[in-house]
Amino acid sequence: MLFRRIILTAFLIGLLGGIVLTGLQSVEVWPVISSAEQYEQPETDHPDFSAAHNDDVPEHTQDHEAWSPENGWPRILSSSLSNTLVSIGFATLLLALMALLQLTGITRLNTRRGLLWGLAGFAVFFAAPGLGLPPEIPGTLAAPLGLRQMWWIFTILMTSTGIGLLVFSPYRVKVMGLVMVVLPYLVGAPHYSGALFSVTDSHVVVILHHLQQRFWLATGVTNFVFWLLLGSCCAWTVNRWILKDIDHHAAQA
Amino acid sequence: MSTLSLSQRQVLQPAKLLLPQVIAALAAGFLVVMAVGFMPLDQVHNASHDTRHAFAFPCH
Repeated sequence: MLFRRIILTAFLIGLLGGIVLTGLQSVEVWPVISSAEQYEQPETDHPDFSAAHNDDVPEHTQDHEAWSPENGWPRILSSSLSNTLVSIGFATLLLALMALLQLTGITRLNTRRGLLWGLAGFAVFFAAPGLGLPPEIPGTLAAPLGLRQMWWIFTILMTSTGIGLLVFSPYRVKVMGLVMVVLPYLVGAPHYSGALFSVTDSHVVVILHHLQQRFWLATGVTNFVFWLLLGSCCAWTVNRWILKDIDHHAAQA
Repeated sequence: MSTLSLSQRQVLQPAKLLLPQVIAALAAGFLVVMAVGFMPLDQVHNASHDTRHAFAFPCH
Protein backbone atom coordinates (compact mmCIF):
# COMPACT_ATOMS: atom_id res chain seq x y z
CA MET A 1 0.00 0.00 0.00
CA LEU A 2 1.51 3.26 -1.17
CA PHE A 3 0.33 5.36 1.81
CA ARG A 4 1.94 2.96 4.27
CA ARG A 5 5.19 2.89 2.28
CA ILE A 6 5.38 6.69 2.24
CA ILE A 7 4.71 7.01 5.98
CA LEU A 8 7.12 4.22 6.93
CA THR A 9 9.92 5.60 4.74
CA ALA A 10 9.26 9.14 6.01
CA PHE A 11 9.52 7.81 9.55
CA LEU A 12 12.97 6.30 8.90
CA ILE A 13 14.29 9.30 6.95
CA GLY A 14 12.76 11.61 9.58
CA LEU A 15 14.61 9.73 12.31
CA LEU A 16 17.89 10.26 10.46
CA GLY A 17 16.99 13.91 9.81
CA GLY A 18 16.16 14.39 13.49
CA ILE A 19 19.54 13.02 14.57
CA VAL A 20 21.41 15.20 12.04
CA LEU A 21 19.36 18.28 12.98
CA THR A 22 19.96 17.76 16.69
CA GLY A 23 23.70 17.31 16.13
CA LEU A 24 23.96 20.41 13.94
CA GLN A 25 21.79 22.60 16.16
CA SER A 26 23.84 21.75 19.24
CA VAL A 27 26.91 23.37 17.63
CA GLU A 28 25.64 26.93 17.28
CA VAL A 29 21.83 27.24 17.21
CA TRP A 30 21.18 26.13 20.80
CA PRO A 31 24.10 28.10 22.30
CA VAL A 32 22.81 31.29 20.61
CA ILE A 33 19.24 30.65 21.84
CA SER A 34 20.41 30.10 25.41
CA SER A 35 22.67 33.22 25.29
CA ALA A 36 19.75 35.32 24.05
CA GLU A 37 17.46 33.93 26.76
CA GLN A 38 19.77 35.35 29.43
CA TYR A 39 18.80 38.84 28.27
CA GLU A 40 15.13 38.07 27.65
CA GLN A 41 12.74 40.27 29.62
CA PRO A 42 9.64 38.79 31.27
CA GLU A 43 6.81 39.26 28.80
CA THR A 44 4.71 41.36 31.17
CA ASP A 45 7.43 44.04 31.28
CA HIS A 46 6.69 45.06 27.74
CA PRO A 47 3.11 46.03 26.92
CA ASP A 48 3.46 45.68 23.12
CA PHE A 49 4.96 42.25 23.36
CA SER A 50 2.44 40.87 25.83
CA ALA A 51 -0.43 42.33 23.83
CA ALA A 52 0.80 40.58 20.72
CA HIS A 53 1.15 37.35 22.63
CA ASN A 54 -2.15 37.44 24.47
CA ASP A 55 -4.17 37.40 21.25
CA ASP A 56 -3.24 33.82 20.67
CA VAL A 57 -3.25 32.31 24.15
CA PRO A 58 -6.50 31.32 25.81
CA GLU A 59 -6.97 33.24 29.06
CA HIS A 60 -7.24 30.26 31.36
CA THR A 61 -3.77 29.00 30.41
CA GLN A 62 -2.17 32.26 31.56
CA ASP A 63 -3.19 31.85 35.19
CA HIS A 64 -0.48 29.29 35.86
CA GLU A 65 2.89 28.48 34.36
CA ALA A 66 2.52 25.80 31.65
CA TRP A 67 4.80 22.76 31.61
CA SER A 68 8.15 23.44 30.08
CA PRO A 69 11.18 21.11 29.75
CA GLU A 70 13.88 22.02 32.25
CA ASN A 71 17.24 23.17 30.92
CA GLY A 72 19.72 20.36 30.41
CA TRP A 73 18.75 16.86 29.32
CA PRO A 74 14.97 17.33 29.45
CA ARG A 75 15.22 20.27 27.04
CA ILE A 76 17.70 18.47 24.76
CA LEU A 77 15.41 15.43 24.66
CA SER A 78 12.35 17.57 24.00
CA SER A 79 14.08 19.45 21.15
CA SER A 80 15.39 16.20 19.67
CA LEU A 81 11.87 14.77 19.65
CA SER A 82 10.34 17.82 18.01
CA ASN A 83 13.22 17.92 15.50
CA THR A 84 12.50 14.30 14.63
CA LEU A 85 8.76 14.91 14.39
CA VAL A 86 9.08 17.94 12.10
CA SER A 87 11.66 16.03 10.06
CA ILE A 88 9.17 13.14 9.63
CA GLY A 89 6.54 15.69 8.55
CA PHE A 90 8.84 17.30 5.96
CA ALA A 91 9.95 13.87 4.68
CA THR A 92 6.29 12.81 4.30
CA LEU A 93 5.52 15.97 2.32
CA LEU A 94 8.56 15.53 0.09
CA LEU A 95 7.98 11.81 -0.55
CA ALA A 96 4.29 12.32 -1.32
CA LEU A 97 5.03 15.16 -3.75
CA MET A 98 7.82 13.18 -5.42
CA ALA A 99 5.53 10.15 -5.77
CA LEU A 100 2.76 12.36 -7.14
CA LEU A 101 4.93 13.96 -9.82
CA GLN A 102 6.60 10.69 -10.79
CA LEU A 103 3.30 8.76 -10.95
CA THR A 104 1.77 11.39 -13.20
CA GLY A 105 4.84 11.28 -15.45
CA ILE A 106 5.81 14.89 -14.78
CA THR A 107 9.30 14.02 -13.59
CA ARG A 108 11.61 11.07 -13.07
CA LEU A 109 13.52 11.19 -9.78
CA ASN A 110 17.19 10.36 -9.23
CA THR A 111 19.53 11.23 -6.38
CA ARG A 112 20.97 14.28 -8.17
CA ARG A 113 17.47 15.64 -8.79
CA GLY A 114 16.75 14.82 -5.15
CA LEU A 115 19.41 17.37 -4.18
CA LEU A 116 17.55 19.96 -6.29
CA TRP A 117 14.32 19.00 -4.50
CA GLY A 118 16.15 19.52 -1.22
CA LEU A 119 17.30 22.91 -2.43
CA ALA A 120 13.68 23.73 -3.31
CA GLY A 121 12.57 22.60 0.16
CA PHE A 122 15.15 24.91 1.72
CA ALA A 123 13.92 27.77 -0.48
CA VAL A 124 10.23 27.10 0.29
CA PHE A 125 10.38 26.45 4.03
CA PHE A 126 13.34 28.56 5.13
CA ALA A 127 14.67 31.10 2.64
CA ALA A 128 11.37 32.43 1.26
CA PRO A 129 9.57 32.99 4.60
CA GLY A 130 12.91 34.03 6.16
CA LEU A 131 13.31 36.90 3.67
CA GLY A 132 10.18 38.50 5.11
CA LEU A 133 10.36 37.18 8.66
CA PRO A 134 14.02 36.42 9.49
CA PRO A 135 14.80 33.72 12.08
CA GLU A 136 14.35 35.25 15.53
CA ILE A 137 16.34 34.80 18.71
CA PRO A 138 14.31 34.73 21.95
CA GLY A 139 13.50 38.25 23.15
CA THR A 140 12.88 39.62 19.65
CA LEU A 141 9.77 41.77 19.30
CA ALA A 142 7.62 41.35 16.22
CA ALA A 143 4.14 41.83 14.76
CA PRO A 144 1.26 39.78 16.27
CA LEU A 145 1.88 36.04 16.04
CA GLY A 146 -1.35 35.20 14.18
CA LEU A 147 -0.53 37.60 11.33
CA ARG A 148 3.02 36.28 11.00
CA GLN A 149 1.80 32.69 10.95
CA MET A 150 -0.73 33.50 8.24
CA TRP A 151 1.93 35.21 6.12
CA TRP A 152 4.30 32.27 6.68
CA ILE A 153 1.73 29.72 5.46
CA PHE A 154 0.73 31.96 2.54
CA THR A 155 4.41 32.32 1.57
CA ILE A 156 5.22 28.59 1.63
CA LEU A 157 2.09 27.77 -0.42
CA MET A 158 2.86 30.48 -3.00
CA THR A 159 6.59 29.65 -3.22
CA SER A 160 6.09 25.89 -3.51
CA THR A 161 3.41 26.24 -6.20
CA GLY A 162 5.45 28.96 -7.92
CA ILE A 163 8.64 26.88 -8.04
CA GLY A 164 6.60 23.88 -9.25
CA LEU A 165 5.20 25.94 -12.13
CA LEU A 166 8.60 27.47 -12.94
CA VAL A 167 10.25 24.07 -13.19
CA PHE A 168 7.57 21.78 -14.61
CA SER A 169 5.06 23.87 -16.57
CA PRO A 170 5.10 24.98 -20.21
CA TYR A 171 6.97 28.16 -21.01
CA ARG A 172 3.93 30.45 -21.02
CA VAL A 173 2.70 29.33 -17.59
CA LYS A 174 6.13 29.91 -16.04
CA VAL A 175 5.33 33.63 -15.79
CA MET A 176 2.53 32.79 -13.38
CA GLY A 177 5.00 30.79 -11.28
CA LEU A 178 7.27 33.82 -11.09
CA VAL A 179 4.36 36.00 -9.98
CA MET A 180 3.49 33.51 -7.23
CA VAL A 181 7.07 33.46 -5.94
CA VAL A 182 7.18 37.26 -5.77
CA LEU A 183 3.61 37.83 -4.51
CA PRO A 184 4.28 37.33 -0.75
CA TYR A 185 6.77 40.23 -0.81
CA LEU A 186 4.37 42.45 -2.76
CA VAL A 187 1.76 41.74 -0.08
CA GLY A 188 4.51 42.30 2.50
CA ALA A 189 5.36 40.45 5.72
CA PRO A 190 3.55 41.73 8.84
CA HIS A 191 5.48 44.79 9.90
CA TYR A 192 6.47 45.69 13.43
CA SER A 193 7.57 49.29 13.94
CA GLY A 194 8.78 49.27 17.57
CA ALA A 195 12.15 48.36 19.10
CA LEU A 196 13.68 45.12 17.83
CA PHE A 197 14.31 43.60 21.27
CA SER A 198 12.48 43.56 24.59
CA VAL A 199 15.52 45.04 26.38
CA THR A 200 16.47 48.73 26.23
CA ASP A 201 20.06 48.67 27.55
CA SER A 202 22.16 49.73 24.54
CA HIS A 203 25.09 47.42 25.43
CA VAL A 204 22.74 44.43 25.56
CA VAL A 205 21.09 45.49 22.30
CA VAL A 206 24.51 45.41 20.59
CA ILE A 207 25.10 41.91 21.96
CA LEU A 208 21.64 40.78 20.78
CA HIS A 209 22.27 42.19 17.28
CA HIS A 210 25.47 40.18 17.15
CA LEU A 211 23.66 37.06 18.43
CA GLN A 212 20.96 37.53 15.82
CA GLN A 213 23.49 37.62 12.98
CA ARG A 214 25.13 34.47 14.33
CA PHE A 215 21.66 32.91 14.51
CA TRP A 216 20.83 33.72 10.87
CA LEU A 217 24.04 32.05 9.69
CA ALA A 218 23.68 29.07 12.03
CA THR A 219 20.04 28.35 11.16
CA GLY A 220 20.76 28.91 7.45
CA VAL A 221 23.60 26.38 7.37
CA THR A 222 21.72 23.88 9.56
CA ASN A 223 18.57 24.02 7.45
CA PHE A 224 20.54 23.90 4.19
CA VAL A 225 22.36 20.69 5.16
CA PHE A 226 19.13 19.18 6.52
CA TRP A 227 17.19 19.85 3.30
CA LEU A 228 19.93 18.51 1.01
CA LEU A 229 20.02 15.34 3.09
CA LEU A 230 16.23 15.05 3.08
CA GLY A 231 15.97 15.66 -0.68
CA SER A 232 18.58 13.12 -1.67
CA CYS A 233 17.36 10.43 0.78
CA CYS A 234 13.74 10.85 -0.32
CA ALA A 235 14.57 10.71 -4.04
CA TRP A 236 16.71 7.63 -3.51
CA THR A 237 13.94 5.77 -1.67
CA VAL A 238 11.20 6.79 -4.14
CA ASN A 239 12.81 4.64 -6.83
CA ARG A 240 14.33 1.96 -4.58
CA TRP A 241 11.23 1.25 -2.53
CA ILE A 242 8.15 3.48 -2.71
CA LEU A 243 7.35 3.18 -6.43
CA LYS A 244 9.42 0.03 -6.93
CA ASP A 245 6.81 -2.24 -8.49
CA ILE A 246 4.11 0.28 -9.38
CA ASP A 247 5.04 0.35 -13.09
CA HIS A 248 5.10 -3.43 -13.13
CA HIS A 249 1.53 -3.60 -11.80
CA ALA A 250 0.46 -1.07 -14.39
CA ALA A 251 1.92 -3.14 -17.19
CA GLN A 252 -0.15 -6.10 -16.03
CA ALA A 253 -3.33 -4.03 -15.71
CA MET B 1 5.98 7.01 -30.76
CA SER B 2 4.48 3.69 -29.77
CA THR B 3 7.05 3.36 -26.96
CA LEU B 4 6.05 6.75 -25.64
CA SER B 5 2.35 5.96 -25.62
CA LEU B 6 3.01 2.63 -23.91
CA SER B 7 5.10 4.25 -21.16
CA GLN B 8 2.41 6.90 -20.73
CA ARG B 9 -0.19 4.19 -20.26
CA GLN B 10 2.06 2.42 -17.76
CA VAL B 11 2.50 5.55 -15.72
CA LEU B 12 -0.95 7.10 -15.93
CA GLN B 13 -2.94 3.97 -15.19
CA PRO B 14 -1.90 3.49 -11.55
CA ALA B 15 -1.65 7.24 -10.92
CA LYS B 16 -5.44 7.52 -10.91
CA LEU B 17 -5.82 4.67 -8.47
CA LEU B 18 -2.99 5.72 -6.20
CA LEU B 19 -3.68 9.44 -6.16
CA PRO B 20 -5.95 9.42 -3.04
CA GLN B 21 -3.20 7.67 -1.05
CA VAL B 22 -0.61 10.20 -2.17
CA ILE B 23 -2.92 13.10 -1.32
CA ALA B 24 -3.61 11.55 2.11
CA ALA B 25 0.16 11.29 2.75
CA LEU B 26 0.58 14.90 1.64
CA ALA B 27 -2.11 16.01 4.11
CA ALA B 28 -0.57 13.91 6.91
CA GLY B 29 2.85 15.47 6.36
CA PHE B 30 1.40 18.97 6.31
CA LEU B 31 -0.51 18.31 9.56
CA VAL B 32 2.61 17.05 11.36
CA VAL B 33 4.64 20.09 10.27
CA MET B 34 1.83 22.44 11.32
CA ALA B 35 1.48 20.69 14.70
CA VAL B 36 5.17 21.08 15.56
CA GLY B 37 5.45 24.60 14.19
CA PHE B 38 2.10 26.19 14.97
CA MET B 39 0.06 24.37 17.62
CA PRO B 40 -0.85 27.12 20.11
CA LEU B 41 -1.02 24.87 23.20
CA ASP B 42 1.55 26.22 25.71
CA GLN B 43 3.02 22.80 26.50
CA VAL B 44 3.54 22.01 22.81
CA HIS B 45 5.04 25.46 22.26
CA ASN B 46 7.49 24.97 25.13
CA ALA B 47 8.44 21.45 24.05
CA SER B 48 9.11 22.48 20.43
CA HIS B 49 10.41 25.98 21.28
CA ASP B 50 14.01 25.54 20.06
CA THR B 51 12.89 23.67 16.93
CA ARG B 52 10.47 26.49 16.07
CA HIS B 53 13.24 29.08 16.41
CA ALA B 54 15.72 26.95 14.46
CA PHE B 55 13.28 26.52 11.54
CA ALA B 56 12.23 30.19 11.64
CA PHE B 57 8.62 29.33 12.37
CA PRO B 58 6.96 32.45 13.79
CA CYS B 59 7.25 31.90 17.57
CA HIS B 60 5.99 34.08 20.52
